[in-house]
Amino acid sequence: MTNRLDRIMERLSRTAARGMSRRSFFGRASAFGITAASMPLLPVSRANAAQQPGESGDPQSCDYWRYCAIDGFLCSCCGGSTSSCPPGTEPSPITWVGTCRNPVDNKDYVISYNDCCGKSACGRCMCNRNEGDTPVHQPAGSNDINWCLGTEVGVVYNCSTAVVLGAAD
Amino acid sequence: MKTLTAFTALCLATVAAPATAQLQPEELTQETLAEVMQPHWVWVNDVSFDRMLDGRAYLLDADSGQMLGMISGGYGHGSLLLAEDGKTFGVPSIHLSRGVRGERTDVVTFYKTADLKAGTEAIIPPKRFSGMPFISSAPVMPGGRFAVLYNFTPEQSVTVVDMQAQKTVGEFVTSGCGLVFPTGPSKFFLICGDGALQPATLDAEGKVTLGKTSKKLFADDDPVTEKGVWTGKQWLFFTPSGKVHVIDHAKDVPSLAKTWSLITAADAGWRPGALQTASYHRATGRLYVLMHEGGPNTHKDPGTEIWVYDAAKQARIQRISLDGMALSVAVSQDAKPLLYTAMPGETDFKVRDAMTGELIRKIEGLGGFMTVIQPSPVTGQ
Repeated sequence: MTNRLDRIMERLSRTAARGMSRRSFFGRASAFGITAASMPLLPVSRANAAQQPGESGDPQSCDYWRYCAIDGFLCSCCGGSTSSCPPGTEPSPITWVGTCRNPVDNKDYVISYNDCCGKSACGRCMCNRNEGDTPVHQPAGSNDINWCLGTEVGVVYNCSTAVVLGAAD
Repeated sequence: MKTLTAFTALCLATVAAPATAQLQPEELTQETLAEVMQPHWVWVNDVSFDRMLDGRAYLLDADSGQMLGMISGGYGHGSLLLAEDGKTFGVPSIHLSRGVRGERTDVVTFYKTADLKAGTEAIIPPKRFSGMPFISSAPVMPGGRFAVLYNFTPEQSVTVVDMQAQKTVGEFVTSGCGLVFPTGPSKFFLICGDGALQPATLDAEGKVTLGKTSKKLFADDDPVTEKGVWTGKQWLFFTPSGKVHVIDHAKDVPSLAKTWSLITAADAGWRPGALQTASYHRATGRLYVLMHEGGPNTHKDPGTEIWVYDAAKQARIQRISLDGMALSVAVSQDAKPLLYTAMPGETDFKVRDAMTGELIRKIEGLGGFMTVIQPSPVTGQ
């Protein structure tokens, strides 16, 4: 087991975008300790993270650049935004991540697709793109998992956000 | 009140009219079904993606094109635990005490095929995997004694359910590996995040012991999907690029028996995809795979064709055009097999002759997010 974790960690260290979240899956105690606020501590480029990316495109459209690995209803169409949950829903503290290229500066950014939870599915703006999506046995990059986990309100999925965590190394 | 009295009198007069004197009032009854699932009966999941609290599965008769009944599966319904004899099945489900919120209870509810009435319940840990339906998240072991359910919280573990006693055996950690692929009545393996396989065994009571993990078997840049197919003897796993990895599970530590490709140079641009990618007909050795044209990152796109392979010869023997798309495919296991497909967003369930590929019928007007198809079970599944 130790060797396998070593191999996993070795691979993850080569891929910051996926590794930063996958790391958490192998630590029981830490699993529920991840929060959106703690995400910047993960291995993304902090220097670049300090600078917000330029924006173009429509966050209510599936072809918006941040949605390259999303699978679900866009919170931007459901009373929330790319970085906020609709009223009365609770952000999932744990999630999957993708790496999406911003057409404004042609740089790659790490995107956290936190689910919003506690109300039935929004049903608007269904969007499924799978750039870099991994199978569920590689959970940190898998968009086939209901990520309403570790919430107070429970497992019911409402919509998906697309939060920029930082520039990908 | 006068109006109501007059209405009541009119009703009575109507009932008492001479013409109805010869009419025998109908009696309202409940239908029942055959005790055993018939060869061309098939369950199809409707995960009700935009109303996931209302997950369900429909039982269809592919010969008649009739819907026979359904079950309600709770939140994010997955697949059914079909007993090999076709007489009973279990439904793993998630329920919240206040509908969308409140205390979570996970349960396996047992049903008889004959009446589809909810029967015995086995409460399981409130950790069952919730996501897109995969049969590998809740399979029944060959022989039918146990079912093994994958948990993800994101801690990973499995819950074992005794299908005969209809009781929960317990929860067992899986050390960073997930999904469940049975290889015998008391043997299975899981896939680990690093591309290794984790073997495990069940004792007579259903308690899990993990074995020695395999070496890394699958490439990081072309990992196997969750959608492996059991031939009755081996597991076949597919990769986004079109490789088929055949697993040798005979020894204590799983290994790769061989790897072959679904795609030849002439097929460049095609690849497997979908949610339920493939199905295998054991008597003929025919492997049915949903294929589509697309590049990288299209590994979950629906299929536009089904390519049929002789799995033993690793050679394509047929192409079936779907005249549309499908996200799920399954084949019945009888001597006159039918080929089933479903596509979320469409409400038709399509039935084809599995040998010719000819479309026989569409069963229309079903739910809007049909996913996993489960044909009538066979012994040793």
